[in-house]
Formats: sequence, structure tokens, C-alpha cells
Amino acid sequence: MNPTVLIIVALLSAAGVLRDARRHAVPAPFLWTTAVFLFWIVALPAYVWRTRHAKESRKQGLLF
Amino acid sequence: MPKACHSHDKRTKKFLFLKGLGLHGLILFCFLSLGVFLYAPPVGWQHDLYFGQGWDPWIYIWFLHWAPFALSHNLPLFYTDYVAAPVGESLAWRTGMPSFTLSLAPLTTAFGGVAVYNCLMLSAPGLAAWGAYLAAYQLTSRLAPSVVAGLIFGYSSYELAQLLSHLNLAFVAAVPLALWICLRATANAWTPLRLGLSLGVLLAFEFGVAQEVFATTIVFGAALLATLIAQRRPGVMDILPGVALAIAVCVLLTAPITWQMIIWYKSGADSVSSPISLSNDVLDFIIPTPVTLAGGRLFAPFARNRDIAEQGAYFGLPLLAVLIHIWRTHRSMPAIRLAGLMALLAGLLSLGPYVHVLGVAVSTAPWLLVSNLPFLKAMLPARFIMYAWLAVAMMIALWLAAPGPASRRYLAVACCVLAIAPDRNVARRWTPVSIPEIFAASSDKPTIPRDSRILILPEQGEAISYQVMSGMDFRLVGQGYLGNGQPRPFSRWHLYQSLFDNDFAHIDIPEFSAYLAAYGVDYVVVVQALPPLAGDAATTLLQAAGWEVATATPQATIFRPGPTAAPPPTAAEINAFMNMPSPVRVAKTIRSETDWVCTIRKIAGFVHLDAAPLLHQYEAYAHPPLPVADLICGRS
Repeated sequence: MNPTVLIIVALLSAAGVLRDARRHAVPAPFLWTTAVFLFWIVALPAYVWRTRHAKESRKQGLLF
Repeated sequence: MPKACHSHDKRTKKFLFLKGLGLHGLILFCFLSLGVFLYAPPVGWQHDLYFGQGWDPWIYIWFLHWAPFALSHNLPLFYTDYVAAPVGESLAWRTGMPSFTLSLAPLTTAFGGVAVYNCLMLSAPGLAAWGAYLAAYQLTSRLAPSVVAGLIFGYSSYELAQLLSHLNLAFVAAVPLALWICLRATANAWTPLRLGLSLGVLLAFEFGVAQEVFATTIVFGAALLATLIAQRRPGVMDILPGVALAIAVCVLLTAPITWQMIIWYKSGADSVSSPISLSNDVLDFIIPTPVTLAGGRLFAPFARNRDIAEQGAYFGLPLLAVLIHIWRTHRSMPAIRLAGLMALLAGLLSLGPYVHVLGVAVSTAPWLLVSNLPFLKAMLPARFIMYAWLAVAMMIALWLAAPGPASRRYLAVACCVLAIAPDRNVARRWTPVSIPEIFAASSDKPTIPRDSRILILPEQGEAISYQVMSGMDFRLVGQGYLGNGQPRPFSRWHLYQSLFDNDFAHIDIPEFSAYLAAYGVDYVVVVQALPPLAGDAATTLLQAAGWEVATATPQATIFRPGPTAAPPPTAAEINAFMNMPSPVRVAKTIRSETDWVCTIRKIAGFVHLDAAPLLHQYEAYAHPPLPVADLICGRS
């Protein structure tokens, strides 16, 4: 893939992560944003997994 | 009584010290012998063989010759006009290895550069292994695990690969030795002065072997220290003054070269390869390289770094499995945890600015952050893997020395070592020195007077080998391969690319005549080497330019200017030749513009937009005067 396209994708993903992290009060939003920009292929799935896991835990906490 | 006791203690300490020295000396001898055994030439020791492949080894041999030659002729050490004559070029950013070239100058004068180069290459893996052994011994105080660590580092894929071509990158003993000094200083509470002097001199030596390895050692050393400080490990703060003193000593000792590097930064940094091209592919870690005995040839087509000498990231599945096992079972040990983190960091950064899988860029990678910064961009990510190998060697040593039954662990490590073992037929590469008779130092050379300016055609990088073997008898005009990059102002002539791509048919004859006259070429030597047709084409070109045969031998023909050869051009004419639009540059611009236009079309198609307004904007503000509508996508 063209490096320019990769950087654009990484930037867009990082912006999305920053917005999502602020909205859901995820700890260390800037750390996640930097990680997603610099290592998109690992950090983005890790962020999605982490926030999903946190949301599920929160739901379970509300239910029980 | 206390006096006698003190004296007895002193004797015991001395005995233990000498015993340790004898043991470490014996291990060094064994490691060096293993290197000689593995890499000894298959046809026996001959003075006209050099270790390695291609023309890169000649760069190191040239520098080994250059130092004594420059000193004996009162020439500057870091600038030469023996290549790229008559302008010359700075050697500050080249792989000049002043640590070796200066200290071994008497040996080079006595035995020749080829012999000294071969000895250095053969000793490199043994010394690297010994350095790692000492560091591991300091960590574990156990012999067998330390020897295994030495073997893993000294005969790693990195070392085996670099041994094929790059002396400065293969001679990395100073890196584990620096680790050993720091460990020893922490354990024995060295004074800052002792640590500063010993580490400073060692770092300065490494700077004089390979500036790049020195720079990466500083980066990874700083990362290691920062991690240790963050973990508040005892003894770390005590060595900081010594480390700071070491840096100061090193800066002082290396100031002459550093100053030259700063002065020549622009041209030097331009000659460094791209970090994208010299980074590791994710699959490089598990796909055997051509140097590997098990499966090396089978997987050769998948290796991304086409140069075998840069394929040093192969750890193999058995070793990776063992490392994962060590991490899972022993990461509670701080030293193993730290070594694991360092290995991970080095492996991650070695991916370069973009993650590649089978050669395709799929993601950004952490090195992107610094890959364009001044000086840091000169560090090539693929070579960071050496630090991962050192960390892995320490991890294995600590694991083998950990409490519990060790036989299974040794068995597992033996399997790992077998998986990375070298194929001697590939790793033990010796190349014969092939020099046309007219360049040999022993010949009388009636037609090439001393200090002539010479152009050698066709050239594939071998011109410096002829120069070395002639005893530096002539200067090379606009040529002389001492590393990447094209020498200025020669590269501004648009014949330059064709001249050194041996594409003589596409060279403009008046421009060629002007080029030869402008730089005062005395002789052009056409070597009858590969490719054979290029020699004939060069002869035709020279004759058309009015040059005549001075001497012809079966191996080479010497041309000199004939009566119809062009006179030296004026400055205005040279300027006109340099500013002619090069077909190569035009083609490159068209290719680059086609890529941009096609990317815009693709993105527009992807989001279902009309590409025309976007292209209109591009054409209006960014595009050079090329017709956008005529650019066809999908054509290479």
C-alpha cells in the first residue's frame, strides 16, 4: 500500500480513537491515539477489544 | 594475625582472578577457533582470496589501505580525491573504520589490506560471541549458560548475514562488552572515573568501527537505562555519573570525526539508504534466510531484503516458541522481564517506519516518528535486530541458569540453535581477487604514469579494487564506489546514469567528449569483463569521441585522447550540459505524477465521487504541466 495512504488511514483512525476515548472516558486517551497512529495494525484492534471489554464489564456491573 | 589473614585473602583473590582470566581466555580461544573452522576457505589459505561477496568488502579493504597511504603522503584522512577525482569526496560519512585502519596500519603495510580484512572478518563472530559470553557470565555466574548465550549472539542470523559483506556491522563485540562493563560496574561498585574511562574508550572504539552501530547503541542503551530508572532498580543511579563521564570521554575522543560529520552532514546523510528499504518484514522472523541450513534455499524467494547481508531477523519458530515459554514462566525474574522487553522493542523498531508483510506495507510502525529526523534517519532499522539477538541471548542464559532441572532446557535450546545454524556453502563465501594485469602493483605499467586521472569502463563497483591493488597509483574520475549516493557535480551530467549503468549506446557523444575533457581524464581503461557487450559499446563510444588505443591486452584496453578529441569545454558549455533535461528524470516525473493521479482517481472511485473536479484542482495547484487526461493508470 502507498505510504501516504497508510498515514492518512492511521491519522483518521487516531482521530476516531481520540473522539471515542473522550466520549467514553477511556483512561489515557492521548496514549491510545499515539499508539493507533504509530502502530495502527496492533493498537486499533487492541483499543476496540479493550473498550468493548470495558463496556461489557460495565453492562454486567449494572445488571448484577 | 590479621595481617597474615589479609595477605591470604589477597592471594586467594589474585588466584581467583587469574583462574577467571584463564577460563575467559580459553573460551575466547574456543570461540575464535569455531569462527575459523566454520569460515576457513574451502580451497585452503590463499593470499588472493577475500572473505565475503560482491564489491562491498573492497570498500573496507580500500579504507585499510587509505589510512597508511594518507599518513605516509601527508594527505587528509577524511577527504580524498583518489575517488570522484578531481573534486574528491568527504569520507566522514563513509564506513571508514578509523579504529581499525589507524591501529592496524603497520599490519596493512606489512601484509596487505586483503589479509588484514580477512583476519578481522574471521575474528568478528568469535569476539562478538565472547562479549556476549562475558555479559551473560556476569549475569549468571554460570559457565555453560554463558557459553550458550555467546554462541547464540556470535552466530546469530544477524552476524551470519552481515559477515557476507559488511565488516563494520559484523564487528559488534563492543556492544555486549559495553553491557558487560555496565553490569560489572554495578556489581563491583566501580568509581565513576573507572567506569567513565573504560566505557568511554570502548564506545569511542565502536564509533571508529561503525558510527551507525555506535548511535544505535546509545539509543538502546538510553532506553535500557530509562527502563531501569523507571523500575527504580538498585544500583542504577550509582552508575549514571560514570555513564555521563563515558559519553564525555567518547565525545572528546571522537571529536575530529564528529566535526567532519557535522560539516558534511548534507551530502553524507543523502548517501544513506532509505529506512523503508532496509527494514524487516514481519515474516522475516520466521522464514529461513538463504544463509540458514534448514530451509534456507527453499524460502529464499520470500525474503524481502533482497541483499542476503541484510537478512538478520530470522529467529525461527523453535526459538520464538522457547522465548514465549520463558516469558510466560519466568517473567517474574526482573532480568528476564527486562531482556524480554528490550528484545521486543528492538524487534518492533526493526520493522522500520511501516509494517510490511511479504513486501506489502500494511500499517504504520513506531520508527515512523523518527525516521525523518536529522541524524536519526541515518540509523537503518533492519540492523536494530542485533540488539534483539543480544537480549535474547541474555534471556536464554538466565533461563538456563534458573533453578530446576536443566537438561530439557538445554535440549530445547539445542533445537533452536539447529534451526538457525548456517549453511556453510552459503555463509563461507570466499571470492578470488580478480585484477587485470595492467593494474597489478608488480607490473611495469608503461602506459599509465603515476597519479594519472583514469576512468574505468564498464564499471560495476570494482574500480576501487583495481586502485588498491595498483598501490593507489591513479585517481578515479567521477567514480569509485565507497558507499551509496552519487558524487556531485558528476551526477549532474545527464550521461552519468547511463555511463555507470553501462548503457553506452544512449550516451550523447559531444557530451561524453566534453565530460572527459572537463575533468582532465588522462586515460580510459576498458576492461574486458562482464557484461562483455558493454566493453565493445564503450570502445565504440570512445572511438567516436576521438580517443585512440594506447595499449591493448587480453584483459583491458587503454585509450588516450587522439588528435580529434574535444578540447576542455567552457564553464557555460558545462553548465548547458548539466542542465539538459535528462530522459531518466522526465520518465521519473511522469511515473510519479501518474501514481498521484491514479491514487486520486482510486480514492474518488472508492467514495463514489466524480474525480474530475479533484483532478482539476490538482492540475491547477500541484501538477506540473502534464496532461492529466492522458495519464493511463495500471501501466508500469
